[in-house]
Amino acid sequence: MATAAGDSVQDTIVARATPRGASALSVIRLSGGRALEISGRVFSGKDLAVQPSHTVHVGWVGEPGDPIDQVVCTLFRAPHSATGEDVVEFSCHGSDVASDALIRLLVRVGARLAEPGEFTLRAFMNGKVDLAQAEAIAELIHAQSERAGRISMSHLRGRYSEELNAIRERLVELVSLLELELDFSEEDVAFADRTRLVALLTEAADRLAALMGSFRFGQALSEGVRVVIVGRPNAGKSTLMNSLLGYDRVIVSDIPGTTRDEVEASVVKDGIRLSFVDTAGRRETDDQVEAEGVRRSLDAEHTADLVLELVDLSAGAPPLFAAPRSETTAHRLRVGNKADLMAGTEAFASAHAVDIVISAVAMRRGEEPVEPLLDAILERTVGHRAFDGEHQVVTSQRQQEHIRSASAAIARVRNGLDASVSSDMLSADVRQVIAEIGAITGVVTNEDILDQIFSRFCIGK
Amino acid sequence: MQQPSFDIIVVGGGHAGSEAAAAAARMGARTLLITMSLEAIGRMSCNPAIGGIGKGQIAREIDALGGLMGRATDEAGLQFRMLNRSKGPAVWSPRAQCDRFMYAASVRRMLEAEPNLYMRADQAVDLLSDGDRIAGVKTQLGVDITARAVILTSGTFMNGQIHIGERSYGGGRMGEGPSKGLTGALHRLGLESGRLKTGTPPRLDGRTINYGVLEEQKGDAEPVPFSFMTDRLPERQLSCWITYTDQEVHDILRTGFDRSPMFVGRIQGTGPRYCPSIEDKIDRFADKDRHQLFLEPEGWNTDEVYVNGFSTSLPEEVQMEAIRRVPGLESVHMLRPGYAIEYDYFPPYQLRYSLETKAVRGLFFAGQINGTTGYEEAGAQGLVAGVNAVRYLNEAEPMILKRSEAYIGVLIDDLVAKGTEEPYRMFTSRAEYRMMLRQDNADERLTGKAFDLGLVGEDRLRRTEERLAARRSLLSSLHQVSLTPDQVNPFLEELGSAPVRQTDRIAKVALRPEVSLGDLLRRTNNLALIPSLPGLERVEEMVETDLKYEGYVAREQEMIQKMGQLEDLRLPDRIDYRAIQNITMEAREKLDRIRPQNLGQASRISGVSPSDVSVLMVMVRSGRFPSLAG
Repeated sequence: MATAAGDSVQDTIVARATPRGASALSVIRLSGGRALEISGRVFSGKDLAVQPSHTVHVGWVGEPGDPIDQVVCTLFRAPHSATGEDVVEFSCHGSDVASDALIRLLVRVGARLAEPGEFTLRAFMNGKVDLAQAEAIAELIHAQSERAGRISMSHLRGRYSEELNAIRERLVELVSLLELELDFSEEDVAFADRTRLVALLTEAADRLAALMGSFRFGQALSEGVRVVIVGRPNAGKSTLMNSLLGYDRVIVSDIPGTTRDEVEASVVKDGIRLSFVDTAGRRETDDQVEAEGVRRSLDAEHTADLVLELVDLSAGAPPLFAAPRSETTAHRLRVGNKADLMAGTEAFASAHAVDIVISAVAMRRGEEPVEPLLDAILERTVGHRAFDGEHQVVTSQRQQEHIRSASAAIARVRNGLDASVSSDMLSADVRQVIAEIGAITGVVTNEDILDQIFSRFCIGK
Repeated sequence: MQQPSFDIIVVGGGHAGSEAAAAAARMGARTLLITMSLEAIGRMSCNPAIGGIGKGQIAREIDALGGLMGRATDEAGLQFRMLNRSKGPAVWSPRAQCDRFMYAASVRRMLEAEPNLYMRADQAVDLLSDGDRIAGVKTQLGVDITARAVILTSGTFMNGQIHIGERSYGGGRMGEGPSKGLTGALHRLGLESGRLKTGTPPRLDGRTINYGVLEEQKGDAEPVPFSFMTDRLPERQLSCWITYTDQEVHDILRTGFDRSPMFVGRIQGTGPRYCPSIEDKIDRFADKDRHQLFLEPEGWNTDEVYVNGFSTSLPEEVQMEAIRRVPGLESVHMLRPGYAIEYDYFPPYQLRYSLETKAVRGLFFAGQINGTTGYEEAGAQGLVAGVNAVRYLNEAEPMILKRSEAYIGVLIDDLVAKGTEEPYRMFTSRAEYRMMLRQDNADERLTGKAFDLGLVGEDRLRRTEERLAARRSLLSSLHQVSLTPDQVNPFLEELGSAPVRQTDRIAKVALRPEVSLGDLLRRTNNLALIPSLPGLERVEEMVETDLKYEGYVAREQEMIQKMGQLEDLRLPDRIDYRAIQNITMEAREKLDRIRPQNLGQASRISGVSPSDVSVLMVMVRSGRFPSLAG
């Protein structure tokens, strides 16, 4: 039997403990065996690893030379904490920008985003929840289990799950044929049809890719989309930013290199918050301040959901990158600017694989709508046009993990088939695909149900 | 009459009984083996072969634990094959055809070599008990023999009923009577029984077989032994022969269906789905126009032949007529017809993991009485029951092998956690940690444990250590020694494998599925890296497996760690499952009946849903669960 029991207990989890939005303070909470170590890596001040429980420390968080915020950090050592594990809480100044940056940084150095209710689940598992609640919890689990299929599908209804379940069933059938080969090879039996297996795996991979797309959409709904604007100096990045935001958030001048620091601001389109980060122009420079800005713009790209590369069509200069760089995971959108200043832009645009042509100045003057560009950004990041309400949206981090693992296992099976590995190995990988798909669609494992319960019901808070 | 008392009595001298008696005696218990016929000790009642897929792994594990089966097989083997060679080392499975007379003699001799072991030809007809503890057995000869532990290995004998066509009579095997009385005694002690069925094919006179028209199946050119202690195998091997049924054979068989004890419902017991009778095969798979038959020699010095694939309980004359239509068997003489046998078993959820019954302290079951089929499955349980009977006497913790440690662990966990309603046999697919539980590393997994228990001596332990050292030494050489493109590319080219562009460690080149490590070392003049190994196995083969499976084994290790959290959560004996409202009715019933020992076991019971497991987890962790009175 496959089970995810204990899937996550070793992880250190992080989440915002206070609501998003303007408030005086926002609290970021970490829990888990590595909470102190991970916190120590972003906190400059006392060495957190050696501080006693229930102590409060003031210091800066951020990376060396790149402070995010001054914070108050409170330590609770296991088992004397709300979850029974090591817990660290950071109180930041109440800007979402700073606290988002801190969460991202903590994830980068080893924490995992907590699932809804996961802190409570851990508290329960470590005996921190009042005993009287145990029966209530048991009753809830039972009540929910009667709708077990639907529970795990709370983020996943509609045809995707049906299709995935159908694929899963056929994979089970095929794996049983593989097993037949292994356990009854001495007998006169039919062998598993490898071409059918390949076709089925391709189908499964496609469905999973589509689900992954819906995950990005779901995540975009709750987390927003971060767009970093890059380009050569004077490509018009700041003008574009101001056009998008509808107000002069950024100083615009004709002197190349005016923007020396990152500037971030956001707009909402179709219910999704788009955060734009304007960066320093990319060129060789002797100016120290500007060089620092360039370094930061490179950093910013790594945290972006989309890198919007602005190309000055009138300047005739080649784009920054000959081809999209594979080392960054962010998506790229290449936008040709200053279409108003030259004729024959189409030829140039197609020669340099420009995705969309605009005039930022015309937008700024209200002569050109910004929607086509925003749509292009959404299309590239969340592919939202594919999700018209009838389709499913995956927002659970765990489901995303299962989709990833399933896809990875499918890749292994395909490679294995190409390399003619033995059927015992093929079977092991196909079995994993089955288990992962089961976990996505609702052949749920023990802790998943508990996770669901705790994420749907606010127990112990 | 009162006989001198023993520590342990083993009832039955088959594969389970022999292993149980040998293990118990070796661990120092004064042990009595009671069997209806001393001549039947170690008898291969059905096919003359040990091992096979899934079963060969068990036989190797029995050997690694110091059991008899591997050594007897190597001595009596007349054909050795490693099955599944083309399917990946995790499922490589040794199988040997045996001279069944030599096999039985070998087992008998090994039993006689145990100083603490006594044998008696008699039949246990009743059990002696003292409250909820076993106290001995009462025999057919009117003797009460006392003992503090009793191991029942009754095979197909308890209320055995033989069926051939419309003929039906009481018997434990052809030519031997059934055992009566024990089932009733066990009922009185609170145990429930069920009925199972199995069958066996006709035996033929080899002098009347036309081998000239048959397909020959030879043994391996380089046979691999079953025992980790074996240095030599018989030099000559015998062949098996393959032939096929056809539509005409099937038509003849169908003429007997109206007199088939199976089809007319005279047989009530459930038979094994994976080992159907020939009439079952042609009935259920009517579109299949032929079935494969293996003709297997029964010994070096006999012409008796076993017809694997033709198990049947049709009337003798129908068997005879049909088999004479099979190519090569046109004028065959039948020494003995096939038959079906029904027997009592005790659904194994009534057992603890030690194979002690939950109802009666000191009473252990092993083999077909627990619903299994197969010599290997029986032998494994016998060994475990023998060990644990001694551990029980010594008030020591039982030996419980985990699913991640041995096929034997999978076997017993499946039996105890799920019970079985048809004869249970092992398959590799039952083992979720198959990549780790290989036939070539059974010694590594188990021999240290066997030494600690007193099952094996230092000679065997040393041998295991030497094998392990050889394995590690070669593995580390492969990670240190590099090959240049010039050295390795000609070989890779021949294989159609992509050439390497830069110098690489041998270990990395050997990872390619198409590259055999032995060939690679030979072609690159690195044979000197291979350490010598006692026994007949090749260290480079074992190391190649270690290398190629590394990633899979790592994933299994992760899974073990995750499952471990459930396995570690003990379920208190006093939980009143029937009073837990928050789990399904089915789960309440099954948990109450099976009373699992930990949450891992509970999670494997069919009908217990993940949510039921979650409820149990919450209740046990919080200490809040309904308790049984008293």
